[in-house]
Amino acid sequence: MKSENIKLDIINIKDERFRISYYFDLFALIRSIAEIGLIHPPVVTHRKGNVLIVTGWKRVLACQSLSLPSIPCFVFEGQDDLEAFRLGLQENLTFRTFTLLEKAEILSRLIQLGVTENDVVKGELSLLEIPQTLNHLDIYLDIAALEPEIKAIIHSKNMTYPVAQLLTEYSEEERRLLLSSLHPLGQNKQKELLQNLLEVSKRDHIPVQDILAGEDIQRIISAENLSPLQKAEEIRNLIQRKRYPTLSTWKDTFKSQKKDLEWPDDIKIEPSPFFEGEEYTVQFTFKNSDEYKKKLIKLNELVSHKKISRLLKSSPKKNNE
Amino acid sequence: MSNPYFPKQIFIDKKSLHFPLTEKILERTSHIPTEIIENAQDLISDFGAKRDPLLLGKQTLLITQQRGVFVKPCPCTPGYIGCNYFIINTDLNCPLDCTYCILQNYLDNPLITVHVNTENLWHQMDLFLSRHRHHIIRIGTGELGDSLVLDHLTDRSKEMLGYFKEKKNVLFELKTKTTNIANVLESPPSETIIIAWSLNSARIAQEEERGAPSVAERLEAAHSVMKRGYRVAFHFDPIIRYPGWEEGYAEVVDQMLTKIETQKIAWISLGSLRFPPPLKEVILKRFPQSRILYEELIRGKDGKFRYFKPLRIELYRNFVKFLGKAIRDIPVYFCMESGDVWKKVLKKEPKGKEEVETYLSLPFGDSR
Repeated sequence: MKSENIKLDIINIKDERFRISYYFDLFALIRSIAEIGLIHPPVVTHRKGNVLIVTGWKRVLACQSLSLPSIPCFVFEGQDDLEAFRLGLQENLTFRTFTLLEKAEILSRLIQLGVTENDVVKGELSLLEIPQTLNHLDIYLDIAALEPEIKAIIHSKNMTYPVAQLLTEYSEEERRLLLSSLHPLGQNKQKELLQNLLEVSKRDHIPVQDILAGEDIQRIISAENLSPLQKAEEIRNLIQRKRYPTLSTWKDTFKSQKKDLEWPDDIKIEPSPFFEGEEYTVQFTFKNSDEYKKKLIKLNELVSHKKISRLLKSSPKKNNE
Repeated sequence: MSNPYFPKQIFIDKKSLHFPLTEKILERTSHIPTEIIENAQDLISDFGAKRDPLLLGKQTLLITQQRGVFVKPCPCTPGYIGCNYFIINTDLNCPLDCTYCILQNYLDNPLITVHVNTENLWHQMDLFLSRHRHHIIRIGTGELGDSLVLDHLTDRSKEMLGYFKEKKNVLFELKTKTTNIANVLESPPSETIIIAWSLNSARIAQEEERGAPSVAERLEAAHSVMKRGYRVAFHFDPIIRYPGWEEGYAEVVDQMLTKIETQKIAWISLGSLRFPPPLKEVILKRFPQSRILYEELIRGKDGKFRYFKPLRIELYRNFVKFLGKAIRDIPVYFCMESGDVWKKVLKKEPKGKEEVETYLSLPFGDSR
């Protein structure tokens, strides 16, 4: 590849045929170029009188925002788009790893450029450290086809592959309705909400939109005294109760029996996860031997209480156990 | 399966070409295209990349050799009570396509695979039984594939029954969902040989056990085998919750007790739906119409999904009710359950897998 000084105003940034990155922050790069200049020239190519970026979108955009008149570039002289795209891919791989969205974009571009699904599976999936199956390719292509505002959330919340995969299971309209509830939550809670909602919908044969339009959810959404995070949490809890009604009743019963027993807040008692084992965990902290003794005395009182057996059974009456 | 299984294509590992079992299979499948391959592992990797490797794998037979051991202890699952069972892995995978099948996730190889180096199997078996000659062993095929579904191609059961009928300290079990019992009926029965069927409610059999015979057909086959003089067993596993499960399972238990004499039932096992988390994705992908994932499944002590315990107890207690007085005559056990479930449902809590094994081995046929 030859090296040329290219005027920035002749680079056609509207032609995005080789572009794989859309969600990034240029601030650090702009500062670096302003201080020490452009160290690593982008790669461009000529197509029908246009100069297109093969690789180095961030660098070009950063230089544009610094109003530089021209920058050094490598020029790819071939006319094969696929060859140019693969060159860009290899060039990027030498100095960084790709994000989830970039991987999805790369795979989508390869298919658009005429590479067969089987060739992508055998070649680029391995290069991108993705399991080499058509099923994985399908999911990445679905992620690439998501709406820009959803992709922006995937990027800003640094969502993982399983969460993004769950988003592809929803319709565009459903995703739009879910945005405000998803945004304030952390990744695990996002995944839980998306999964439970989908499963309730399938189990009860009720469209997601109808569940979200339900009176209970609408009441939370319109509550003026709740923050966006509180609303999202309440919706998540509500959907979880719908998904696991028996387990939720058991948890409620345990909680109310603890209250009935006047169990102190500074001594934690927990059943085994999902009440699966027969063991309970008691946890407390203390600063000195007096405090330790006091808590043991309190525990002894509690264990002698006639209501303790009800707590340790925690079984709502209507269940068989 | 009403129609016996035939693959659409057969691949033969070059080194397995001249085994008697290979020749037998090829003779019986002369109408099916075959290809000799150098490396079975390459073929398995190619299949793994397909969109539905499992479906394609079910249409393809691989003839190869078992490189490792044929006989292994049943792995059971951590945190729950096992039964000290041993498994013989002759053939892998199954042409039946059950929604819940653990093999969809358990095996890397999606092809129906027959291991033809049977001489190694018998050699390993002799050594294994010699090591365990001082106590009763419960052993069977049917863990990594149905015991009888390929029997018209391999005659595997004939060989197995011939070998095990002479072994006095072994309870040998064949486990199937099929009616492929011609070889079993031709073979002389023995008190130490048990032919077992996996049973489910008619609805689950119809909706979630694609390609398998109906419950009535399975029970008819069990009846024929019982009449031939064999003891039979039934595995209600996985028991699945769905709207109307009580009636569905009451019906199948009633049909079983009507069709089969209780003293001819060696044992009944009960196990509710459970599976490792990665299987969920496979089920969602392969069986999007199935509803079995949407009941209250929690993570058990072993990390697998299983029904919330009170719901399992409810299922099992109903089974005990359906079995009625027959439960006095039939050993009933749980597959992969916790001690407190045993206690709450069957009023006994085995201390460990050895105790379950003893419980199941005690009724060692009418002659003991």
